[in-house]
Amino acid sequence: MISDGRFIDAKLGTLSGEAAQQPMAYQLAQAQTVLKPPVWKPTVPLYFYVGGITGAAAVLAAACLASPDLHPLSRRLRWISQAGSLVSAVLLIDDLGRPERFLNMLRVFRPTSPMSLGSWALAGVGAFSLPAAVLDGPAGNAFTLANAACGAFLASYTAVLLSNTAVPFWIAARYWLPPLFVGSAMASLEALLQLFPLSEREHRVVGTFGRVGQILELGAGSALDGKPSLRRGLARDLWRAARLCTAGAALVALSPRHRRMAAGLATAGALATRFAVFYAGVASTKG
Amino acid sequence: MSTKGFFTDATVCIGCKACEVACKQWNQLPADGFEFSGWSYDNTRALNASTWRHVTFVETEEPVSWKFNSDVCKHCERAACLEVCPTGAIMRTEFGSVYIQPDICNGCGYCIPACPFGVVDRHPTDKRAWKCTLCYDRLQDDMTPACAQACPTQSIQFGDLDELQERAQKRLDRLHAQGMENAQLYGIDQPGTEGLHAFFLLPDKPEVFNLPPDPVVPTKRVGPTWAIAALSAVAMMAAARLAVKA
Repeated sequence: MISDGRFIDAKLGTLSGEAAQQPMAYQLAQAQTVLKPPVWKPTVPLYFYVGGITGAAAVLAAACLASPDLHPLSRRLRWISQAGSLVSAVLLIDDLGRPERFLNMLRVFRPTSPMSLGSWALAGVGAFSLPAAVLDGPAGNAFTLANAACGAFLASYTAVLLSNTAVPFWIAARYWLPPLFVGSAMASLEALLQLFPLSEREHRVVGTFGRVGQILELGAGSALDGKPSLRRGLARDLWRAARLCTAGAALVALSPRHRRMAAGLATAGALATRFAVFYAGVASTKG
Repeated sequence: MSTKGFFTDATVCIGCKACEVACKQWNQLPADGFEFSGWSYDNTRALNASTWRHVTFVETEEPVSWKFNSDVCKHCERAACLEVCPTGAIMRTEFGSVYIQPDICNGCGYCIPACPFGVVDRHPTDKRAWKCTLCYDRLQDDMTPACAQACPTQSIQFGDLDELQERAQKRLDRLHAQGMENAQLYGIDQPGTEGLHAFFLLPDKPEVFNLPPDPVVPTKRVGPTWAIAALSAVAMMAAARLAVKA
């Protein structure tokens, strides 16, 4: 009944015309897909990147309290987490269908919803990072620690947010997305900090943090390399770029003279990683 | 209030779409447009923000047959949309149904990829999430939902959930006795959602009607992912300490 997709009954017609060899290009009767694709805009994967830096900065700021000569770096990191929380909020509010109702995100506290928990964590960083950045002494330290707790959650929950859906790729990748996103956040923070003048001690601290992040990012990325969703379409190109830039950044970082180049590669890699994961998921809902 | 639900018996559906029309009319929903889809007589294509009842038309060639099923929001016992909604807009009513409060929804869109059945959708210009309300407004006035009221063959039955399930089991036994071996119930014994308040009697496998064979509310499998996320966060904190101490 059906021959080469053109619904021509071989008993009734033979394919002898000039154009008869054309394959079917207009999909009239393709299978309907079950799932609905996410309606999110590119601001969402961009938020994953910014939110990751925000959370990582909050955590590193708290760790730096342990060493007095790192207190200036700690303060700078608290300011970065404050700025990051504001940029994150703008990105997320922009993606809402009804942005004027953004405060409804804090209407309930729903532990079953990663988005609910993440909204509260972001609000926490927004609320705690400013007094943490401005105050000194025990009060400043307390706010820095509270900020770090919220920040640790912020840098890791987005992986769970994606996995807590029916999207086939995000479900398949769910055990590797958390270390991928957290490692990416750590590496992105190190890259961002290269924009500031850093002492040798600060370079070592930030460098170690970034190196561990790159190990997590590269390791989790290797585990995901085989997933079919990352080998098709736009996600494939983004993922290749992500892997190349991330590996390149790790190599170039071995040379202290090329820190800026390493930072650029790491940033590009981190952004490409988030966008690749995002678009791979969206495509996987379409069958 | 007892739990209410739908028993949609696809074996007596005639594909008349009275349910689609009644739902659109009662809820004053806009039309879907005037395009032919090429999919049998199904020009509605799928459930979406403006379509809360959708009749699936399935033509098969070997053997020649034409089957219909009136698809709807399943009002799951464990509803993915409800569990992920960060504003609390999606709630469980006193009738056990799942209802999206349009005055609270801010269009975050999280419910959309969460639903394993692909039911909820965000309207492209209204920008809020919408789906079948189980005619919440009609139920509050002791009325039957519009689709069940309009269905001419009683394919869509409304009532107390346990009574509907008994009725469905009897109907299934009768169909099996008549030789319809492929007839099956969909949504009564479903561990992934803990049961659907709007369940179906299908003349064939669920995949034939574009229904997922093993739907799972994502929250049921997310535990290990949270654990790995926590470990990753701890690793980040440990790396920060290591970096400072070194």
